[in-house]
Amino acid sequence: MPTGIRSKYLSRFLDSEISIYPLALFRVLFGLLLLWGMLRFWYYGWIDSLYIEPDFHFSYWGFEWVKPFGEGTSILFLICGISALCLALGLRYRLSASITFLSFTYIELMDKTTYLNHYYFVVIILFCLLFLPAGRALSLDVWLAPNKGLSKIRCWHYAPLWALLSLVYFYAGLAKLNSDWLIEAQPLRLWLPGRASLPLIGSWLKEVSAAYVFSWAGALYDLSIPFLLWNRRSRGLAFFLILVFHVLTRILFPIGIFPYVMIIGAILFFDGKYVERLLKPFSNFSITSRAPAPAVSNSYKLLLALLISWQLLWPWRYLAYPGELFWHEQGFRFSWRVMLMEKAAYTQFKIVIPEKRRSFWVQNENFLTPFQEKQMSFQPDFILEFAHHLGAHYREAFQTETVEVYAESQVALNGRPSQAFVDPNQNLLNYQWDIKPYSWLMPFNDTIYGL
Amino acid sequence: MYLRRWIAWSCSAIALTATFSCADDGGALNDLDKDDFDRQALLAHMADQLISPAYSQYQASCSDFNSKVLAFTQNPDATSLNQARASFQNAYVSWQEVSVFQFGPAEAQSLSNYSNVYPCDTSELLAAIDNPSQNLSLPSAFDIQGWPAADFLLFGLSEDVLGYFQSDPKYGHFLLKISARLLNLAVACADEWNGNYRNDFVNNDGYGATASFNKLANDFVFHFEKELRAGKIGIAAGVFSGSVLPNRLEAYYNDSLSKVLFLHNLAILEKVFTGESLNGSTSGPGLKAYLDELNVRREGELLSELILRQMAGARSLAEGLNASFAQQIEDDPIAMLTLYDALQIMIPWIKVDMLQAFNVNVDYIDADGD
Repeated sequence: MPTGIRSKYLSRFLDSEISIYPLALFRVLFGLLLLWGMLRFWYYGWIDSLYIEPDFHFSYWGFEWVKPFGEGTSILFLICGISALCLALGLRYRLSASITFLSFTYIELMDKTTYLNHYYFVVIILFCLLFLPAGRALSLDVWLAPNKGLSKIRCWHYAPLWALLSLVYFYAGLAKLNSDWLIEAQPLRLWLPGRASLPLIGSWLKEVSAAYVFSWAGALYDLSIPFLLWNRRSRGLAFFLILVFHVLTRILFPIGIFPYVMIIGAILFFDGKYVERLLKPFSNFSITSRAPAPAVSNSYKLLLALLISWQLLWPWRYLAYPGELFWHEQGFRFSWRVMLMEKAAYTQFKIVIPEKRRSFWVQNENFLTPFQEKQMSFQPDFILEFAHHLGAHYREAFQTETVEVYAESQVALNGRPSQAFVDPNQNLLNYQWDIKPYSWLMPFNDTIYGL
Repeated sequence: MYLRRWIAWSCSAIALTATFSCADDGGALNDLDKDDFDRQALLAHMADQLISPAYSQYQASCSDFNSKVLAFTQNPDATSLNQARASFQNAYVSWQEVSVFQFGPAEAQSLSNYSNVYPCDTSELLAAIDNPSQNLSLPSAFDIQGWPAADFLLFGLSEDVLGYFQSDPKYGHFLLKISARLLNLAVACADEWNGNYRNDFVNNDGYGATASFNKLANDFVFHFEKELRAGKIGIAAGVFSGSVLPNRLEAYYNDSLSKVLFLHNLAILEKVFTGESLNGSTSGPGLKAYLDELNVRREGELLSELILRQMAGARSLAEGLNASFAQQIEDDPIAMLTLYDALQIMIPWIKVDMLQAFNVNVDYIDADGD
């Protein structure tokens, strides 16, 4: 009965007590990081340029009702920033975690043009925090009501975050096991020479060897980090590698707050006594409590099981679609596929109004910002959504029901010559936006081997 | 002790990141590679053989135009009008040779916006003529100045342009205001290209979004797509509306000029591509040389050869059209559409394949990736 033994071992492990301080410190830094993230949006003018200025927004399937609301959208970022600060301070923990989760998720859902895997990661972490006692130490809540303080919680409480972090790395590693990444060293081979202006390593980045070293090291890193983190003896090495890797990626690529999210995530694997020693100067906020670690409810366990199973399975949904994933991108998002593709693209639309014997081409910039146009050009779901938007626009403009929309599109994937992407003879308005395979795409005329 | 060591590492890592990030994109430190394509040589060739000479010539043309306009307004008669018109045509042609290079000083001066936004808003323009305090440096005044406004005043004001200028000096005042402004902007840009900016441009030979080569390549593609293909041909031929719009043509009032302007503009784009100098006497590295060095091919053939052949094809199609594109559109719009299609074929080649090979990003927005 090996499974029985193992599950008994697992439940004993999950029930065991563990210091709350790594989780509490993570909460503090994570809140501050989100606050900084919101400030960046404001400072770089992205609230305006990404959410307020565009007339049209690309929605997630099923979330078409989530839209920016004009100038007031800035208030949403303000709310999210303030609640993230309260989350960091541990003030009204559950309320501030809820508001941060809701406002941040709303922001992410407003326009998928800005989709990034690490924002999705932040959303899930925030969701987990709703159910964790992360505000029961190092917080104003405990300072105001010391009897609420805890110093021990259970491994159950760390489990979702440990699992998520490990899963993100491991799945990101699996996604790299394909011939473009390993054999062709793409897309790093295209990207790294662009960073040749960097001091010290810059001149080497132009060499093909650099692309191979980074590709292989990156895949190995992603696949091994979870195991190195779990093993107590290799944890120090894992921290060191995490730092080196994320600092390098921060230097090489514009990836915003992502490296810092992953670096502070590593704190969750720390031994509690190190964190407690570090936090001594803040002992006001870390009242040692003799209260027993809180029990874990069955509904929490169920929720955890559902969350982890969903996370384990969801990234594999692409297997249900025929054709090359990098080409049609059905199942690409929400699957920890990071840095895998460079798609250069050009897509324009032809409007045909048969009853008026009229046809003309659309100037995308009349409807989209340059950033939206770029993202639309190579992602089929964007192309279809935009085609329907154009259809509605011209049905109204010409007061007719019979509008046809065709797309002419050329896409170059990972350094290949560009090839036709959308079938130019298909009226895109004949296709509804659903989860079926896109029969209006041209097939990819090459093969990428691997996962 | 993990943690303390971890914190020490984090701090030094963050400091290191900050140092690297500040050294970003400038390209000043990038002199290390020898074996790859020499971007600096290309930039120097472009600056010295194409861009600076084009700006000098443009400045001279603007200066001539301004003095002819001055002579005309001081003494409006048929001779001075004809001289001003001839100088206008010459200067508008020489504008075509700088309009591709809208980075650096031109970007700082908004040169293109103040010099060549068409169609001219003629009712606004006539209102501005009656308003001596009209401020031409406002963005709202883009379409009542520059070459399109001069085109309207010299050729489109009425059947009897000379009569207008003779009857009321306000037309002359405004035309002079426009020509002086064009000259000032041209001088500001030419001075920079013949002075400090030339070296800044050549030395900024890195690979980031603000590096000179990225700007040159981006402007080449942008200009080709928006100005040449759409602005000079597509919009008027009805490609984006389904019905012809001849009044959206460049030089609409002096309509025999539109083909000449197109051909000069195409010629300068060809020169950026092939590396031929402005006067055609020498040649050096252009975009083609870079593409060939990278050995970029489509279906076995060098991409640069495809582009060159297509450019030549578009040129011969254009040469077969009426000197007045407005007339051409009236007589046979299909021939204009054929030229448009010949240009359109090149857009994915230059915008997708070429820019990808150069590792140049199309958009300027600096949002995060992952």
